[in-house]
Amino acid sequence: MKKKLLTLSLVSFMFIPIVNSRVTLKNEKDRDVDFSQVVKLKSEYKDFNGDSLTIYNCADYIDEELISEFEERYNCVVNYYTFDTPETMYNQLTLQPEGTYDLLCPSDYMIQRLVREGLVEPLDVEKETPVYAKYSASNLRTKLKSMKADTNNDGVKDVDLDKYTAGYMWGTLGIIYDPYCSDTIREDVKSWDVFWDKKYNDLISIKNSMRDTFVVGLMHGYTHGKFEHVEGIDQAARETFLLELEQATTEEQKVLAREKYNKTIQGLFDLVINREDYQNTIEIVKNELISLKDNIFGLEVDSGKNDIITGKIKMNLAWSGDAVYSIDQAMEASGKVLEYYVPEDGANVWYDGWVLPNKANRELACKFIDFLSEPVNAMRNMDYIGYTSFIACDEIFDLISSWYGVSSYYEEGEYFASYYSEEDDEQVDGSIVEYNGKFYECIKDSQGNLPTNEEYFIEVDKDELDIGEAYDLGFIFGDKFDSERSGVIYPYNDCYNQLIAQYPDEDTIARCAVMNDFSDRNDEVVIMWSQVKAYTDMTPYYIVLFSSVGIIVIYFVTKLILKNKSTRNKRRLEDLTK
Amino acid sequence: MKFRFQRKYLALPYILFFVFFVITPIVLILYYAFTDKATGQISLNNFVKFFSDSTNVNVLVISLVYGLINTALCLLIGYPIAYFLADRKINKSAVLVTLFIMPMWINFVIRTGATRDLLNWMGISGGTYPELATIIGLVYNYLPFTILPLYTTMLKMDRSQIDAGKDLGANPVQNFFKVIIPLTMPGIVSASTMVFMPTISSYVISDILSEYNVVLFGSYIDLYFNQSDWNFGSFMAMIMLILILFSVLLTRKFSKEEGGKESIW
Repeated sequence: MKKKLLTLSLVSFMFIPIVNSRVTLKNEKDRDVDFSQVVKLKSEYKDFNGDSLTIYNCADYIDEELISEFEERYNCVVNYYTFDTPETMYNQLTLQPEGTYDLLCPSDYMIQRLVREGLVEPLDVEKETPVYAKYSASNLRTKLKSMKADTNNDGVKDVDLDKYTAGYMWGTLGIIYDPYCSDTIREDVKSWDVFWDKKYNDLISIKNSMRDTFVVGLMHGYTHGKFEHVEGIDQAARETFLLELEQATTEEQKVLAREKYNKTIQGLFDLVINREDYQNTIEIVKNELISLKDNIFGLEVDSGKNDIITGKIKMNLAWSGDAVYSIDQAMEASGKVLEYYVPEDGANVWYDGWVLPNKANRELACKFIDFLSEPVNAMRNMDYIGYTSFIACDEIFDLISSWYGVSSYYEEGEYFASYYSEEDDEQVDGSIVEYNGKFYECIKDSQGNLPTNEEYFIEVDKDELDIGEAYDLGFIFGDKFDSERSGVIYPYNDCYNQLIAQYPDEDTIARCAVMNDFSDRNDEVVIMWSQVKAYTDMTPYYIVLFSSVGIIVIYFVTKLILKNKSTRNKRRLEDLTK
Repeated sequence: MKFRFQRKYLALPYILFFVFFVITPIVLILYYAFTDKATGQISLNNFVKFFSDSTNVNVLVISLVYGLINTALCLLIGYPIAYFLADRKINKSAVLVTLFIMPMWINFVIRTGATRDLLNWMGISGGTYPELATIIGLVYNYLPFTILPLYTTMLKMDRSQIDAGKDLGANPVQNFFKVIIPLTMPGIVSASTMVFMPTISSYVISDILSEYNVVLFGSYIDLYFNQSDWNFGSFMAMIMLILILFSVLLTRKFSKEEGGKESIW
């Protein structure tokens, strides 16, 4: 579902120069070590004797080099297929005989649907994929546990998704925009109203995707009080939340406030599933989206990413991973600045995960999940595709901090002085590190020396580095670091937006709800979506149709009359000759 | 018994082709069209579903109108071109014909992607003028299909009959309507059918060029197939088939009445 169609080689090509490539270098070293271990300890890994594993993944959603490394390590053959949308995956899965695929990577709602229809098998994450269990971020696992599915189609949601899936990537749905397209744009994107704003007429494109567009209509309707009458939908939920957050003195109170707020947004998302009068909700969303049609440029499948870079459009409904990619592309291609924001009215958070379809080659499939969850592999994968991984580990944290800013000093960190990189043919700056509120640049390779040691580090001015507000990623990485260290990143000012697009903060996640599968009410949402898409002023069409039918009829009638006339004339002529 | 080759065995590949790629799909479409999605029972649910929502009929009307406009424009533009191309006095070599047909050599999806950028550069973007962009794209794509049958008919046309018309006192307008048009009727009929029918079911052109603002019937069917609603999608495909069949019958009758030669349709 969350895919990149454009040349992905560009991504990896592009990150390396930006990231003054220390981390990459360091990890390349790690990789070398790992590889020699692979050779040496090959017997440690099970030999699968050419067994085959068929993976069906979203297009451009993996670093394919990892696949060949996996094949080599386990002596197996991987058949790798890709799909464009989870719907395509579902169609293929149900059309092929069971056992065709061993491992799938759909989105959250599709996993619910597969579970409901009994197309996938449970997965005991702790036992079968211990590496994933060890490194996956606890908070994200908790999210998976909170999402329920119905195993036997009896309407009772009896299991949580964590029992069926190993998370892969996650992100939010928001707006990617050109911050210079108007003076007030940064304020405007705080609400979905921006899509209805006449000021941006014909400058917005929206995904040609039923579920994503549904979110926009739903949240806009909510902000404009269309769900006021529905019980349990608190119109002032956000105000209350902000107030509670302000008054909260302990972290626990904040967590409670976020949970309460999230519950309201989730309730709103679940109106279609939970309520008997769900048709009202669909009707409201339909009217919202029809009114939106006048103001937007159009729908897009993947032209939007390119159009926003060329400036054809100024705003696009985007998934966070695509946004991160577009922001990089725009900067790389033309030095254009793009930003991403999740509107404060509320939006959607999504999770993609691996599932095992029935009759899958379980053992090998689980090995693959674990292989991707190994810190170095997860880091390489994230570096390649640009989405946000489920895995939280030192390697990924270092990658993130090298992309967007500076992290705090910690004892086991490796810090390098500036050096000349032959590969990129340029001078690479030394590592920069934060220590006790001050920033230091490494001038001599230092392993274990404190930044206060002037032989190894030199202090740099914070303003000179252009470092912005500190951003704490502890809530994702906190308990997954190898040793005690701070999860704070000090991002460069021009990277801050991209960092929060990649890792939304807790307050952003609080206003994002999961969009559960519509199950048997999906059909009605599809009809609504088709009506929205086809909605147009029909008068000119009927005029053209009736006038052309009229012309044809007139043509035949006149022909008939002329024919009669001529036969009459002929007869008269014959009579005359007689 | 010893196998003996008989000439009728040569028909086998064609029979297989016919069974697998013509009969089977139609049977499947009919089967899906008249079964219920949830239960798999034979039912008329799709029939009711289709005609109970005016949107479905509207999309059909939209497609018909685009088909009509596209056919009319293609004929209007293509007819004079074909006439002059077929005139040996004006067009001495086949180079010009080749130039007009050349766009057909490039896959139409790629060509449409390029058209999108071209139109955008000209200021006719699909976001602002979706209908106009769609029509331009459709005409551009189907013009070669109009020129080709017209060109071949006109090559075979006996030009001395036109001169005869002139000699017998017909003014150019009369000559055109009473002589040239009837002579080229088979070409007009096959050109119209080759444009009209595919336009109704086309959707890549309208999707890309109108930024999904214009929804044609093909695109509408695709929407339902994508959401795994094979039954309703098939029902609409069947409606389209019936419609096309109807238009073929109509044009056949039309061309016969005109007294022209049988067209390939």
